[in-house]
Amino acid sequence: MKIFDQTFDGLQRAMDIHFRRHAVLSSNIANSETPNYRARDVDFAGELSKAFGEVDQTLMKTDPRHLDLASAERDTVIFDQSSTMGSDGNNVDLDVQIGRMSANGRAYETATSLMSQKFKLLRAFTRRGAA
Amino acid sequence: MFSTIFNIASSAMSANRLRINTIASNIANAETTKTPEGGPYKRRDVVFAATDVKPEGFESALDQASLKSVKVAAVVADNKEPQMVYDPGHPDADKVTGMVAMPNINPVTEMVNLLTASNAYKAAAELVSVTKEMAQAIKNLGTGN
Repeated sequence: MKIFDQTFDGLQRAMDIHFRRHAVLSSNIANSETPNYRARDVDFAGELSKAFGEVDQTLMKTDPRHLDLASAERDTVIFDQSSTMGSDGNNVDLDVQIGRMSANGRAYETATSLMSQKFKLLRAFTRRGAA
Repeated sequence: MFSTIFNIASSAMSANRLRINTIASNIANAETTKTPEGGPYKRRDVVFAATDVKPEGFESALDQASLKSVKVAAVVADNKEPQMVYDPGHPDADKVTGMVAMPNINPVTEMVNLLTASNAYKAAAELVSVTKEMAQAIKNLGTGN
């Protein structure tokens, strides 16, 4: 039995993605009034499905030096096109960004508490072994 | 990690505080006709610019490129023509025409800018509090809570 199973891996990646998204959203919020600033976001759904291995990441390699698709995992900060651009060239919708930040922060805390639960199980397991 | 985000949030708070101070100065001087540089007061505006942050713990160059804090690039004076008001009794009135050059300040514009700046400030404060909760969550990791 693997002690640190796939769930640990997935949760760790989920926390990482949520944290990176939080950083990106915080830039948007800080620059809500900066001329010519374009809102950014993390391609979240794609990232998470990669984290839990739902996407087949194998690409055909014709050379052993070719990179895996997974190594391009960080290439996912995108410009957010969902809101209209004002006359100052800024397209940050502050309310939308705040909403996203709150939801994302909550998701991060959820992933963290799930991780905590996993640790708790491990602890219970090791204690039983010692007795 | 978290310090990067706290830095971004505080940059936004300090930039918006300066903007609010500038607006306050505009409103306070809406009727000022004497200034050290001569002539009526000119309204001032802050110019924000996005700046790179030095992230700690972000490995990817792309992540670094996508993170921006904000700074006040300049405080510029608005060179709009002063508003001419007929007031012959005013000490700064033109002796011949009786016209006084008053600052060209629209209180509505200033109030709208004030609200925008205040909202941006509150948003940054909210950012700080969400980030604090996230930091708390990671602190409690593994303590069994």
